[in-house]
Amino acid sequence: MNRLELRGVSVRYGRGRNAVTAVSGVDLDLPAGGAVGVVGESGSGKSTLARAVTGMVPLSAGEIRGDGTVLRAAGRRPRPHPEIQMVFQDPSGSLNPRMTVASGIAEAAGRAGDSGRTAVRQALDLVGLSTGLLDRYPHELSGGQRQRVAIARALAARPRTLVLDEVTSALDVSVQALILNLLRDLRAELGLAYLVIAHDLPIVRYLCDSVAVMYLGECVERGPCAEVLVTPAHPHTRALLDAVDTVPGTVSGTVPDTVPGTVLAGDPARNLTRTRKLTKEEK
Amino acid sequence: MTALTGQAVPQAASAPERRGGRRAFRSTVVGPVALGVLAVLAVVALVAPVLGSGPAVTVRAADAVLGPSAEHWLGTDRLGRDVLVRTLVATRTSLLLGLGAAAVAALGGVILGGAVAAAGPRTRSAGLRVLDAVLAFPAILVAILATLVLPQATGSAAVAVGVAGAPGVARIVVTLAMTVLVRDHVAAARGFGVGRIRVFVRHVVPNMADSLAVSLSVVAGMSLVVVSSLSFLGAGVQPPAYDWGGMLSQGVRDLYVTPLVALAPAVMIALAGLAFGLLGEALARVANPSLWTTGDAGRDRRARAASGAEGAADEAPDDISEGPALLDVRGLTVTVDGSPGSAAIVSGVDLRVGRGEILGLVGESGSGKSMTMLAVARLLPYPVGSSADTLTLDGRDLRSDRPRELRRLLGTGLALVFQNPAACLNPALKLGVQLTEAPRAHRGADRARARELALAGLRDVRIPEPERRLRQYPHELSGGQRQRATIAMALVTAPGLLLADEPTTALDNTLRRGMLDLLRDVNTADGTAIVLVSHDLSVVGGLCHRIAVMYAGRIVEEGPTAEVMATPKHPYTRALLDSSLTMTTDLGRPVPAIDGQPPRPGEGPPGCAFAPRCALAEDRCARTRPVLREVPGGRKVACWVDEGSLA
Repeated sequence: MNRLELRGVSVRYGRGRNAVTAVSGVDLDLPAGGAVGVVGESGSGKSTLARAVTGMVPLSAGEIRGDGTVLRAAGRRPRPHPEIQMVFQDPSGSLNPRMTVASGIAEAAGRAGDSGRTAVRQALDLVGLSTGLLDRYPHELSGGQRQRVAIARALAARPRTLVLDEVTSALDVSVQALILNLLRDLRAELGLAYLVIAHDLPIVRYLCDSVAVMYLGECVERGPCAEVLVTPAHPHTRALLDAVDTVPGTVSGTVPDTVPGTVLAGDPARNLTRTRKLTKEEK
Repeated sequence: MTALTGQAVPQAASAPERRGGRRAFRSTVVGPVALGVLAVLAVVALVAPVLGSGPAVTVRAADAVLGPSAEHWLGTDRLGRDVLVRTLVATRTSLLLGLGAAAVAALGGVILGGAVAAAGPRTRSAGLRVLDAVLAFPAILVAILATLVLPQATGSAAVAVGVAGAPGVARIVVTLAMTVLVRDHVAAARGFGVGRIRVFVRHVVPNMADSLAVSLSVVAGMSLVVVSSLSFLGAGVQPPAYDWGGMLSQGVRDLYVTPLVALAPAVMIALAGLAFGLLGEALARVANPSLWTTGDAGRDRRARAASGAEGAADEAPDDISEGPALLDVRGLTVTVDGSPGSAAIVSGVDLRVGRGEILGLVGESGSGKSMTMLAVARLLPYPVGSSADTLTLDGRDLRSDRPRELRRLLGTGLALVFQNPAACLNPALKLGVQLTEAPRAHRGADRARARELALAGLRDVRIPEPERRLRQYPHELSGGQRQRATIAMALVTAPGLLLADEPTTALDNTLRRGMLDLLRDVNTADGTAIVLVSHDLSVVGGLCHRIAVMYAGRIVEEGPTAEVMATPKHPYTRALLDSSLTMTTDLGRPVPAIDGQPPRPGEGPPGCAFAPRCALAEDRCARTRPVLREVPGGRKVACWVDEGSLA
C-alpha cells in the first residue's frame, strides 16, 4: 500500500471508570515513500499510536486507511499487516534470545529452504552485516549489530512502511549515527515510508520530512519539519525545542525549566489518569 | 563462534549450539553430581530386581526384625526379609512410578497451560480461574481420589499422581508464558504474520525452557515423594508389589525396634528427589544460550591477554598535580575474574575529583566507564575484581577489607544514582520509609531526626509539599518528581561525592533537562562533587567542569570541558562529538559515524586500542600504545598523531 491515512484515531485502555484515552482523535497522513516524525514526551501517546498503526492495539474510534481502503477501524479486531512492520526501541527485547540471526530473519521472511536463505542474505546485505553473523545468538552481538539485525528482520517481511519506535535511544551515540545513516540510505534505496516515533527532535529532523507533535494523547501541531521545528506555533512544541540539549561546544549558562505539567514515564495508560488527577489536585 | 560455511544454515547453527550446551553443563558442579547419583540409581534399578528378586521376597520368620549384621547389612524386617536387598529392588518400581507420574504431569500441564496462555484474553482469564480452583484442592487428595477411579494396577499410582500434578505444572506454564508473551519479539513475530501456535512453539516455549526444566525436575522429585506417600497411605502400590513408600509404611511400625527398616527407603526417596532437583538446575543452565559463553570464551580471552600484554608500552606513571582531592584513584585496574592475569576491563585508570567538582566520564558501552564507577563504590559484580595503587575518598582508603568500616565509609561518603533513577525507588514502600533508611543506618539518626533530614532533602530538590510526599508511594509522584526524590534519597546522608551512572539516558529530553538542572543545583548549593558517567558527550558537556574520555578501559583524553569540546585532541573524542546529532546538523550529508567496534577486554592491538577505527592512524599506532601525557592547558591526551601537530 502506498499511502497511510489516520483519521480521528483514538485508543483507550481499560474499561468503565478506569478507562484512559492514550491517543485521542489523531489525524495523520503518511504519503508513499514519505517520512513523518511523531514527537512528544514519555507518555504522550506516541508509542501507542505506533502500536495502533501496526495493529498491536485496537482503535476505540476513527480509522486507518491504506490506499483508500480501511485497514483498521474502531470495533474491528486489529490484525498485523505484512506491509507495515515495526522496529522496536530495544533490540535485546525485540530479538528472540533463543533464535539465531538466520532463523529470526527467516521467520520474518516467511519462506523456507533456498529462497528463505536467499532472503536472509539479502536482508543482512541491506543493513551491511556480514553473513558470518548468521548463526550467532543476539547476546553474541553488539548493540548496534543487534539493532541492524532487527531492521534486517523487518525488511525481510518486505514492508512498504516501517514504524520506527525510538530505534536509536537504547544505543550509544557513536552507534546511533550508523543506524540513522543506514535508515536514511534504506529509505532512498527501497522507497520505504517511515513513521518515526522519537523524543529526540534532532533525530526526527534528520530522518523526516514532516512532524506531528503529541501532548497528552492529542496531536497539537503538525507540518513540515522545516516549519514546525524552526518556527513552532504551539507552546508545547516550543518547550520541546527548548529542552533539546545544548549544541556541543557551548557550555551553557542557564538551563530552561522543565515543561509544566510533565507527563509521567512508564505505562501510558496508568500515567494519563494520574497526571490528570495530579493537575486537578494541584489546581 | 566459527564462521558459517555456506548453504546449510540449520545444521551449521546446531553444531556450536550442542557443543556450547554440553560445555555449560559440565561447567556446573551440580550437573555431574546429580547425573552421577541418577546414573547409580538407574544401574541399581536395572540390576537389583534381576539379582535380588528372590531374597527380597523370601519370608524367614526366624530372622524377623534383626539388627544390622554381616549377613544382613541393614537388618531384616518383620517377615525376616533383607532390608538392603528390598530397598535396592524397590528402586526400579519407585523410579518408574515417579518418572511416569512426572511425565504425565508435565505433558498434561504443558498442553493445558499452553492452551490457556495462547488463548484470547477472556478465555485465558476463565481458564486461569478454573486452574486456581483446582489447585485449591491438595494434590494428594486429588491423587487418592484418582486411584479410586483408576483400575487396580501398579501403574495407576503414577497416572493418579500425574493427573494431580498437572494443574500445578499448567499454572507455572501459564505464568511463565505470560511473561514471554508480552515481549517485543513476540509482538514482532505476530507482525510478520506468524500464527498463534507457531509463536508459542518457537518464541514462548524456548524462552521459558530453563525455568520450566527446573520446575519439571522438581515435579519429578515431588512425584516420587507423592507416589511413595500414596503407597505409605496404602492407596498406591498394593502388596505384594512394593516401592520405597510401601516399605516406609511397613517400617514405621517397627521404627523403635529397627529404625533402619524405615530409614533405608526414606534416605533413598530423599536422595532421588534431591538428584532430580539438582539436575533441573544444571539443565536450566544448558537451556539458556546466553550463559554458555562465560566459561570458555573467558579462558580464550585470558590466554590472549597474557600473551599480548608484553606488546604494551611502558606504564609510565603520570605526574598528577599534587593537592587535596576528594576522590583519588591511581592505577585502577578491573579484571574479568579478579586475578592479575585475566583480561582487563579497566587498565591503569587515574582519576582525581576535587571538592565541588563535576567530572564527566564519557565513553561507549564496554569502555569500562561503569566498571570504573562500580570499582570506586566497591560494588563490582562477582567474579569481576579490581586493584588500585591508590583508592581514597576524602583521604580514607576504600580498599579496606573490613566490611563494616567500608560500609560506613561508602554509606556516608558517596552516593550512587543509576540509569533510570526512578527505578531505584521501591514501589512497595512509602517515600518516608525509603528516605529515612540511610540516615538511620549511617548517621545514627532517630526517627524524628531522620524525618527532618528527609524533609530537608526533598525541599533541596524542590519537591512541593514534602510532608505529604513522605506518606506517598513512588507511583503517586510524577516522573520528574520521582527522579528528584531519588536524588534526594542519594543526598540525604550528605555525601561529599555523587556517582551518577547514565542518569539521563532512559529519560526523554524534558526529564533529562530537569535532571541535569538538578545535578547542577546540588553541586552549586551543597558543593557536592559529582562524577557523571555518560555515552553522550554533548549531553553531559554542558554540566561538567572537566571531562575524561574513556576508550577500551583507558582514559584517552582529559581536560577542562570547554577546551575538550571546542578543540578535542584525541581522534576518538573528535569522532564522538561529530557523531551526535543537533538541530543544526547538515541534512545533506550522512552523520559522521565511527565504524567498527571497540575491542573486547583482553583483545585489540598491542598499540592504541582505537587505531583500527581511527582515520588518522599511522603504523606506530597499532604497534605501541601511546601513554596519557600532559599537554598545555591542563589537558592530557593519549595519542601519537596529535604529538606532532601540537605546538
